[in-house]
Amino acid sequence: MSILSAKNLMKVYGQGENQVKALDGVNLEVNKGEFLAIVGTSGSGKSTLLHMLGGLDRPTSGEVIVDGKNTASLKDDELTIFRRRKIGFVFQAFNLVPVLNVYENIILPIELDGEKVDKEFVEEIIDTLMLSSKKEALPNQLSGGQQQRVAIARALASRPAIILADEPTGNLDSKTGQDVLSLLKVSAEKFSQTLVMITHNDEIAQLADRVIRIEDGRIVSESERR
Amino acid sequence: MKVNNKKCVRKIAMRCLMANKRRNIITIAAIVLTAILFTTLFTIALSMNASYEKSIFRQLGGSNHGTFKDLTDEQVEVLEGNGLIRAYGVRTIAGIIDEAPFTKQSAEVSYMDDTCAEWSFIKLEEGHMPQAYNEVIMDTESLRLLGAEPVLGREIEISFNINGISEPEAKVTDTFVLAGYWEYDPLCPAHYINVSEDYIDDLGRTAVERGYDSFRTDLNVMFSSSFDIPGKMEKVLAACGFTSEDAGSENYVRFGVNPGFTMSGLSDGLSAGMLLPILAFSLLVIFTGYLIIYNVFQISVASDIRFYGLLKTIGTTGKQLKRIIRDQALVLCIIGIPLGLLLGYGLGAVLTPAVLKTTTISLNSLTVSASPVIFIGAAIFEIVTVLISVSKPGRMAGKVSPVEALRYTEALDLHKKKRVTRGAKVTAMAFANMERNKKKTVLVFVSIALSLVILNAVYLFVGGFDSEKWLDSQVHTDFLVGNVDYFKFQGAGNNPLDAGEIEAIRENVTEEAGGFAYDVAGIPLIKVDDPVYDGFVARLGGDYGLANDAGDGMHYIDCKAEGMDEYLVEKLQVYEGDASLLNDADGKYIAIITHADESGNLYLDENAPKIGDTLTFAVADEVEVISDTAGERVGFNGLKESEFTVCAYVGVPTAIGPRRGSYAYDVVFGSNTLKEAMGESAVPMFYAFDTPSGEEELKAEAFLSDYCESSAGVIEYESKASKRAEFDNFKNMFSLLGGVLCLVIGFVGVLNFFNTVMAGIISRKNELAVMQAIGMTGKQVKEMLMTEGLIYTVGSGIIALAVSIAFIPVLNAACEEMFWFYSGHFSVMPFAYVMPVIAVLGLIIPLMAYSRLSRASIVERIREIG
Repeated sequence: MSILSAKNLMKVYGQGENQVKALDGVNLEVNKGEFLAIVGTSGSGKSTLLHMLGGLDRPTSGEVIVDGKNTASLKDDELTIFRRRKIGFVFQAFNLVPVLNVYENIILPIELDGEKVDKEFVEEIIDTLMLSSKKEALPNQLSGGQQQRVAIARALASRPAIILADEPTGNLDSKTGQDVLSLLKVSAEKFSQTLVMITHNDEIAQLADRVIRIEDGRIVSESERR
Repeated sequence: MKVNNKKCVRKIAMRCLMANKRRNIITIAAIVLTAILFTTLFTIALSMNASYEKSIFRQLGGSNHGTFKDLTDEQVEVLEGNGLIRAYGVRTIAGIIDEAPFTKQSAEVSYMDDTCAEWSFIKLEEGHMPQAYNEVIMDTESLRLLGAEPVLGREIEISFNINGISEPEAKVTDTFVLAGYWEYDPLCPAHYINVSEDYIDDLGRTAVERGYDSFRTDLNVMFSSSFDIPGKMEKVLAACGFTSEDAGSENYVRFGVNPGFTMSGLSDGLSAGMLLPILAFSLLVIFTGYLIIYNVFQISVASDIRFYGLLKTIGTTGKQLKRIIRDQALVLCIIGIPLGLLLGYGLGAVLTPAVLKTTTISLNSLTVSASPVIFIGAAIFEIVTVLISVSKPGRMAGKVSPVEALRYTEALDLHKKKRVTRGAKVTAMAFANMERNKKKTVLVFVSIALSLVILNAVYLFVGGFDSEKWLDSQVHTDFLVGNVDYFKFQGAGNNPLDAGEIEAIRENVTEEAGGFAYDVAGIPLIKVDDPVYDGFVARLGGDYGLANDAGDGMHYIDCKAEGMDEYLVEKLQVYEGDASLLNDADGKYIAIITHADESGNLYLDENAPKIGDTLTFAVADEVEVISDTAGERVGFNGLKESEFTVCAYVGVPTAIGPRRGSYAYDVVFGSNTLKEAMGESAVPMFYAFDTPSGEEELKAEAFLSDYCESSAGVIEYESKASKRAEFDNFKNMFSLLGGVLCLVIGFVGVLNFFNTVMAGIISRKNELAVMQAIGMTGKQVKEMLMTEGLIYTVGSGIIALAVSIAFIPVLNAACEEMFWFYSGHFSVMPFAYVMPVIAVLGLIIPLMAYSRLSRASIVERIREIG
């Protein structure tokens, strides 16, 4: 069953001679529970694709349908609300809220939505990501690996339709990167989440169920792991 | 349905707040300063109003809302229990003394309870309220009149007429013991002599036994508010089963409303006249507050933009982001406003006397209002200022695009600029740095320049008040001595000036020239024909009441008249005719008082008596209403009339004029002519004189000051010196208020500068470190930063100078239009004094910021991600 689909996605920056086609007709289907890796060199358009899929930016043309909803039709604030309910983000630079502690960071998207926090569920996530001892700590008191685990927990906590990870190991050393990655994969499976990850590292991409290669804004190959 | 996300937003707002100490301190300081200005303004405005009201109430003798009059003890008991009445005070009046020594102002012998005494402005200087049978309290002037020193326990004999009946049998004489006294208030309509309750009860019984009416007991009441007092009083009466309508009924109760509360027109007029300046001032304060609070928040949002972008990425809506900014500002308000209210109230209380001195309200009516309106109003204005100031930074945070924020750096628009090779000279770099954020730079320029412009304007404005120009029109004689009535604009008809007093004064001063002015006792009238009479009635709005007929087709109308000695006649402004004829010993001449507009046109209608016309002037002892078959009309008793020839149209300088006017034609006589024609009716009003030298002027001033003081409010004087002091008070008020304003706005400007420089340097931490890493010495960095500071301050100075030069002529023209005694001049002196101070600040503040920064090593600073 498709939970995320992109149809003929175009994103053009600039005008006239300066025009750059960051995305040039991308079609993509992601099934529920799937782990998809998108690989490509820098400048290939993979981050732009992720921004479109996550509703951070709007495509020039084409549509993105998440969980049956077309994001192109949403207004700014509606898009924001859609994001916090349907999408969990994990960024390369962790992007935790510096003034909030670990636990508060994790439940922030839920609280922003005015929903009641399912404490048991959140505790389970925290346990899975081995953050139980750090709940009160502020982001700047954590190591990079720990910060990224908090980000993953935050992405999972609101039970989104899909988790988008943008180079989640880019700022980590290779050992920590591997640990974080396997935790990401394990927890996505455990909480039956769909995971879309961007990376330029082929080795990391091999962990995914399916790998898409993108170049110059187009999908150039697709391989599935059996 | 979703309420609890507010809690989360607030939590983030609070945490952000904690993380921004420097910004908070500066914002709170700005809030406190602007709140001080608002509160001071409101305190002064409301205190002026309250003082004005108090002076009215003192003239009326009480501050209570209303009075139920002539009650029996039983009625008092029923009425005072009524729920509508918030407080009450009882007074029982035994009698009145209107014979010597209380001929000028009568005394009332009564019992007042504590509340009533308080409402009657009785504040004992020493002693206590009468308790023992024969104890008495009174004001210091009554004591003086009765020939008793203000010593507690002294025995005083007092005679008064029961119920004010002027018969020998009604006279009661008793000896009392002084239990207390208070400072005499010349505004009070009567002397209060208060005795004990026991004495009044006892005497009341005796009086009734002797066949007099029982003493009059009044119940003074206060309601919860002064709104619709008559309605409330009616309601109370109805609830208690009384009526105010049927005078014959035994349940009839009279009541009166304190006219101070019905003269609402007067007090409204005062606030309306003050409204415009208050509004203008408020706008200035709002603008000042906006300049800094906006700048502070704009800088803080810009430097935290990635943080807001991140919040948006993970699902914070624009609205919620705006709320995060607004909540932070409101928390700072909660801290800053109370402090500002407190300090501002104190400042207002200190400044109010200075403002009051410039009005006709006497200083002892000074009431510093504690109305909640001051605090609520100032707080609302302050909150509005803050909300306006943070609305744009809030929108900026709310609009942040998550993708852009992820790569946002502050020098975002840098790439748009064309690159000019300026080399790496320190000054060139400093100039380039100013261009990086133009909005920020402009705000600092405006905010410093504003205070400089205001400073210069206030300096010129205050200096522009020309005391000589003012004195020239206000004072025409070195000294002017008259009865208190004259200075209260009531002429001298009821209380003529004692010529003996003037003799006593003249013996002690050296005068160069001098002369008397006379008023006419009784009712001065002129006889006019139909067209004049009709015009007069029209000017009164057709509401003149009853017609009168002099019998020969002519009518009498009220006028004001003044007789002048030659010395004063010479000071008249003659528009037409020959005023010197007034002093003609044989002639019977009269001059018509008028005034001219700027182009010399006289304010006289076409029916006015022409020069050479004959005008009949008359004085009546009293007016009565005659009602007969011909209808109702006014009749005049004891008429004395005489014909005069109009010799001139003259302007009388206010200082030596009658100081009041009528709707008809007011007239001037030569004193001899007036005395001859009107005999006893011509009474001395004031005596004016000049002294030959400055030395004699000082002596006379000292003598008159003492002499009038000891006359206890009967005789007063005006002098050039006292008028000059009055003017200086007026001038000082403006320098004081203007000084406070400059100080606060200047402080706001410096704060703004401080914040911009600090924030600028801190946000460029990495950049500066990189510069040093690639070879810029610490000294060069400091030079660059100090140059930037100097550009800010000196630049603001230049802008302010330019604005002032353009603005001063406009200001001068406007002020000369508004105040005739203003002579505008041009000066930029304040700049000369203030610029060095500002320049030094421009050097020191960047230095401070840098020295704080350079505590960390270059490597540490480069590593830190901004």
